[in-house]
Amino acid sequence: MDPALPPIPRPALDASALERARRVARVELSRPRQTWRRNALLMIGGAAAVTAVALAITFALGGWVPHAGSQLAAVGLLLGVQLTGGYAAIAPRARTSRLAAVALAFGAVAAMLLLRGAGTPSATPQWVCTVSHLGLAILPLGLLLVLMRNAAPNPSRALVGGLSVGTVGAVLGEVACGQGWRHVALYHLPAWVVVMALAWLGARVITPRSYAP
Amino acid sequence: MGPPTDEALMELFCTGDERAFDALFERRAPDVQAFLRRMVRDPALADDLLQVTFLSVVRSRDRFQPGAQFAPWLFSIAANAARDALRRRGRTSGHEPLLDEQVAAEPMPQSDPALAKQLNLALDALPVNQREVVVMHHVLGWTFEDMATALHSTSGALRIRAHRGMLRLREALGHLREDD
Repeated sequence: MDPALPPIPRPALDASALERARRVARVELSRPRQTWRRNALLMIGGAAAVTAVALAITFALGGWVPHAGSQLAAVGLLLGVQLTGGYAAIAPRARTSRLAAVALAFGAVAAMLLLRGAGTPSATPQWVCTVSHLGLAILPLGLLLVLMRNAAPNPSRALVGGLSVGTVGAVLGEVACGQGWRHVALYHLPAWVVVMALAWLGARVITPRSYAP
Repeated sequence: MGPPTDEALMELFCTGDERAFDALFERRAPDVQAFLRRMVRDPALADDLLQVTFLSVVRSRDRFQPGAQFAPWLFSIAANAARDALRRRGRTSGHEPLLDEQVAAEPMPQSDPALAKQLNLALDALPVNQREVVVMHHVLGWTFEDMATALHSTSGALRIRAHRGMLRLREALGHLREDD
């Protein structure tokens, strides 16, 4: 302690508060527990399920628009982001997965923009892509926020979770939209950024069930 | 043979031994309570946070990494809970002074109640990140190396934070000293 300062007093022990905390914890022990592995699987499975349903509907309605070779590369990278980002948002100590998700996202964006070319014009208003992108994110975003309550609030976790959730709409955009790279830059990518921002904001607002790192 | 380490108890707890949890609680809860009471200076909120901290241990025991130290993990939970509670109250850069009767209920370090009261108020006025380091180091006796694990920082950065916190405390108490 600084000799110029008096010692900072240690607060008096409150045995009744300690006992209350112990009782509450004991009650919790008797409840079924959610492991982070189960939650990570739920997150990844939930996003994958929404993606699969959206793709199935698109194919069933004949909405698939085959375009340049970008499609397969971009969809592959986007699914990689979905998987690693979903895992990194939930798992403890997932620094490597977080970095991998971000790296894959950069790769996916590059593929979406650089390999797509000028595209073909469409009669559909351009904002439909943005709205669809955001609409498809609603369910997985809700799931992400619910599952993120099981750990301490962490902005980078939330952002990487938003990256993962945003891929649902991005995958559909790659499959169902044949417009050029400018359209992708102006109407697809901003929606993805909005989803990330919503995940970050949501994570600040939700009350965690656990503050474990 | 000595008593089991925290880590051995945590390992037992993770395999379902609830007595191990009781032993960990017995051993560590008083320090967590002291930390939280010093951090938020609101006994009711500190008690809520104490409950939340141990609820988090129970709920998230699978997030504890085997081989890691238990106490830094536990205090990272307590610090996260305190920071979040203070952020929600908009009190991250200091908060309203306690009522006189609350201050009077605090244990006085010296025979000088004015100095003790001023010290408490000065501690309250510290930014949260300085307060937690000052409390952990100067009240609970943690080393900077152990704190670095708990607070996800480096010991060097924490030394600087503690130094800045102590400078602020000294400045806040300076006029009282000069009055002597």
